[in-house]
This record gives sequence, structure tokens and C-alpha cells, in this order.
Amino acid sequence: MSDPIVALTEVEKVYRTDRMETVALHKLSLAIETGEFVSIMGPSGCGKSTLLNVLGLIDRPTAGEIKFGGKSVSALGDAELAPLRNRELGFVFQQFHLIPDLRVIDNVELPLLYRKCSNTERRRLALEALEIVGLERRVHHFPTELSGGQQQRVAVARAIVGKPRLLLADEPTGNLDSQMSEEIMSLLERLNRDQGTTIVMVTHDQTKADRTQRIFRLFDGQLIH
Amino acid sequence: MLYNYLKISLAVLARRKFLTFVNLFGAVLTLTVLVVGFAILESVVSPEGAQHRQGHVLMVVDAVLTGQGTASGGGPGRALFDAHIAKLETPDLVSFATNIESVASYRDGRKLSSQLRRTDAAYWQILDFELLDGRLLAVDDIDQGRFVAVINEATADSFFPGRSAIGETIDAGGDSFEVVGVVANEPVTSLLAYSDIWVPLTTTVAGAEDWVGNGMVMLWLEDASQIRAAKAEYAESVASFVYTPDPAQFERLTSSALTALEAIATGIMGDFGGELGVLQTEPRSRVAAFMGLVSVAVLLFMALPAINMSNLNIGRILERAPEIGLRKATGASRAVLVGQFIFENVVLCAIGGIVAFALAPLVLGILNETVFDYGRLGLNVPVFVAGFGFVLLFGVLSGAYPALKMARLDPAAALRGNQHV
Repeated sequence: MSDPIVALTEVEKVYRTDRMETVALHKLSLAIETGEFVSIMGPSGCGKSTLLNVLGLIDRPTAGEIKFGGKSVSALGDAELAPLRNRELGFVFQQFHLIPDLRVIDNVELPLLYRKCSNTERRRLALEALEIVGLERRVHHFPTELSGGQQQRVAVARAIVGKPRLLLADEPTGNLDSQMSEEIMSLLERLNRDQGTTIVMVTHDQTKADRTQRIFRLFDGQLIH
Repeated sequence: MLYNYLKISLAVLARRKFLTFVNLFGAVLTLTVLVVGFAILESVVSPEGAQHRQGHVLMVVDAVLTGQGTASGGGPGRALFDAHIAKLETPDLVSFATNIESVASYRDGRKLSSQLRRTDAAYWQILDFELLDGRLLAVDDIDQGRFVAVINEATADSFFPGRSAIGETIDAGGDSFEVVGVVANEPVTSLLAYSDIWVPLTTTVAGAEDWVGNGMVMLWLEDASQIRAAKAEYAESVASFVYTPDPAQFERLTSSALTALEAIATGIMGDFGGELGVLQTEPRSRVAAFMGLVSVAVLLFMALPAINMSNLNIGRILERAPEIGLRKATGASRAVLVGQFIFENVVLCAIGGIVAFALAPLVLGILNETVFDYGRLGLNVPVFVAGFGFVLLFGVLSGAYPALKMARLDPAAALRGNQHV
């Protein structure tokens, strides 16, 4: 059996200020297998987003080990983590986080700027990603000219343009109405089914979580069963 | 990637127009002053016009005599020239001329002040004056001590408006000279060529016996690669110095043949560590000290506006925090982000540089009309290259600190909007 795509062992994340200490993740262990579509649920402040950020290598745990593709990445520095994030990970955020000054195509190309990729190849891959999310006719629009659902589809296109093995979605439907939410959920399911992309999704919505293969429930920084 | 950065930087500049204006104003002001300053320095170090062959010329501008507890210093005198320069074999030509002196002339009841220089014949062979009328001073004029003069165009227009100056008489410093030639104006920044009136050296006996005085010596080398050899020959000659008429009065002569830059460095920096006015440092170390001083002055001049711009740019970090978080999440390393933000700042400074390059000719034009006699200050290739360097340096100086701050933002916090700068 192959290694999990990402595995956490006894991971702790503590936020410290001068006056207080907040434990966001407490000795948390989990493994996500390649090709899975899993969701993370829990009440506000339970550490869902922190967990997603730790899985996405943009937040460092205070203690514990992270393995990505079977290799420990806990001790890697910024210079090593950056290309790993670029090659292996894609992010979709609740607020989309599109750059308003760039056109759709330029937003989608963003991850490809940080790897060796010719202009032509970059453009080709970005158009391919936009086609997958059904926005090939919006390439020259600015984000503000699109609906919320369309903006999130652009964000998904940006997340998948580099063909990552793991897609991390932080409440991707949280800012969308039901119809647009459904569009995005269907898109994520399609990516998981057709492209084999492993997806970890944070959600508050039980019905959406039910559509994933596994649900991790988090409470006070710990997994509950 | 650079195109993407360029689009972003222009968009960011357009977002906060007043902030951009304040930043641009500082950049334009700083860069204009630097470009103008460099244009002035460049015109002195590499003048055009009569001095355009300066790379073939060595100068002797300082001479110091030292004896038992006494020293005498100044420019080279004619006795020094006769004893140690006239006989040099490496230079193809050697010339002695005086530095300019202000002389009064009267014309139609008006007192006119002019600059006068006394020269030998070689002066006119070494410098390449543009002759507008008549002739230059010749060997015969010098040998026979003729009271003839070459004047520049401005003097000709001022003294003899509307007619040829050739054959006219010009009074200068109490003597009368027949004008035999008119040459193009040479700017005050051309230290060797600048004057209003040139007359033969032999029209005065003053200073003929002096070792140090108001002189200026040029050594012309057809083959510029012989500069080092000429310097060495002069140094050897100076080492064999014997003061006349009384060898006991001064035991040592200190004087060097210098390139233009070395001469300017010596003039501005003087000499560190010298006793009794004796030049002790090497010309090259004086140039290094001069260049160091110029560099420090440039950096200090840039520092205040750069700090101000840094401060304003840090304010922009907060509004761009989610973008920074996103870029980090998608694979931008700190180094890449530092590069991007410095690039963006250089773009801003480049816009400032373009405006500065548009303004500089206006400022230089005003300086040419008001401060620098016959000024020819303007933009040329070296000034453009230096200006480009200033833009880059200013962009990096003012952008580095905010860029480092931005690149250090915690991506997770930045994406949440909880960033602290």
C-alpha cells in the first residue's frame, strides 16, 4: 500500500501572545490517502482552518510531524516548502482571494509564475484549467466583473492549473448561494472523480460533508469520532 | 513573470493615487538633483569642446617646496616648468599656461570683467579650440612677446557687437592687445580651456622665476597608453630636484602629473596626512577617497526620501496582505516576493526617473544661463547610464525594507486578515 498523501502525527499548534496561550490543534494525528475527498467539520474556532493550513504547509505546527508523500517535511525551510506547495498543493479559499487588478487568465496563471514554465505553456495550462471550470469565455474579464460563483470557479482553476496532487478548500461554498454552491461542489466532485485529485474541504454544511468519502470532526483542536 | 509584476505594480500605483503622487514627488526630486549633479561632475571630468581629447592629457596642478621647517605651495611656476617639464621625453608636447585671472576692461565707458589666461603656443596644439575667426596664438607671438589676443565669441560680441573683432584692440588688466582670433566659448567646467581672453605668456615677466605660482601644465601624449610612463618620468625628474638659486632653502619638491579625475580629486579632497602641505597620498588613493565621498554623499542624499518612501510603502502592506498570503500559498518563496516588491518599487522609481530625465534638461538649461559661464551642461550617454543607476539604487534602497517586511508575513495570518507588520 502506498504512503498517504499527507499524514500528521501528534501535531500541536499553539498560538501565543503576551497574555495568553491558545491551543488550536492538540496532539492531532490523521492520514489522508491519495485520491480521497474528505471533509473537515466542527464548530467555529475548533481549529478547522488551522488544520487545513498545516496540511497545506502554510502554517507550521508547534510540535509533531507532517509527512507529505511519505517524506517528513516538518523541518523544511521556506525555500524548500515554497516549491513543494507550488508543485503539490492547490488552495481554494472562502473569500476567493483573486487579485482584482489581474484578469482572469492572469489570476489563473499565478502558480505557474513560480515554476519553470514558458509563456506559451503557461497560457495553455491556464486555458485548460478555465475550460475545466467552464469559464473559457471569461479569460479577459476582471474578477469584479464576475459573479461570486464564477469567481470561485476562477479560484478553483487557479488551484488546479499546476496539476497539484492535493487540493485544499477552506469553506469554498461559504460565500455562495445554494445554486452556486452546488456548482462548486459538483466541480470539486468532478475533479476528484475525473482527475484523481485528492481534496480536503473544510465546511460547516453537513449535506456537503456527506457527499465526501470521509468526515473528520474537530472539537477544541482534537478529532472526535 | 516580469510582465505580470509590471501589471501588478502599475495597478497598485493606480489604486492609491495620492500616496503614489507623494512617492513619485520624492523620487522625482531626488533623482532630478542626482542627475543634475552627475551631469555637472561629468562635464568637469570628461568635457567636450576644446578638451574633448582629455584622455591624452596629464596635468600638473600642484607643486610644494619643502625645506627646513618651511614650505611653499601652489600651482607649478615657470621655473619648475623649465627645470622639470620642458625636458621630459615621454610627452609629445608640454604646455605652460596660467590659471585664469579676473581682469577689468573698459568699453564705451562701461567696466567689463573678463577672465584672462596667458599661454604658450603648445596650449593651442593640445586643446582643440573651434576657431571662428582669425587665427590662434602662434610660436612667433610667444617668442616675440607680441601683445595679441584670442578672445571668445561672447567677448567678441560684447566688445565688438555687429562687426569682426579681428584687428581691434582690447584692453585687459592694464595692457592693450590686438585681437587676432575668435574662438568658440568654452564653459567654466572645462578647467583647462575656459577663459574669455588668451594672451601670450611672454607679455608679462611676472612669475618667470617662480617655482610655485599660478601655473597650469599640460603633458600631451599622442599615445594615451604612455600616461603611466609620462607620470613615472615626471616623478623621476621631480626626485632629482635642486632648488635654485639657493639649494639649501628648499630640499624637496612634491608634484605629480595627474589625470583629470586625479587632479579634480586632489583639488577637492586635498591630501590626508600631509605635513607642511606635502602631498603624501598616491593620486589613486585620492581618487578612491573622492569617489568614496561622492558615493557617501549620494547615499546620504537618497537616504531621507528613501526612508520616507519605505514608510509609505509599509502602509501598503496591510492592504496587500491577502495577495501576499496567496502568493506564498501558491509557491512564492520569500526571496521571490522580495524580488517582486523591489521590482515594483523600481517601477515607481523608473517613472520618477523618466520625469527626472524630462526635468533635468530644464534645470541644466537654467544653470547654463545663470551659474555656469558658457555652460554646456546637458544629458548625454554617461548621464543617462548614471541616471539609470540612480533609479535602480533608489528603487532598491527605498524598496528593500518594505519588501523584506512583506515577504516575512505569515501566509496563514495574511490570508485570514490578521496580519501584523
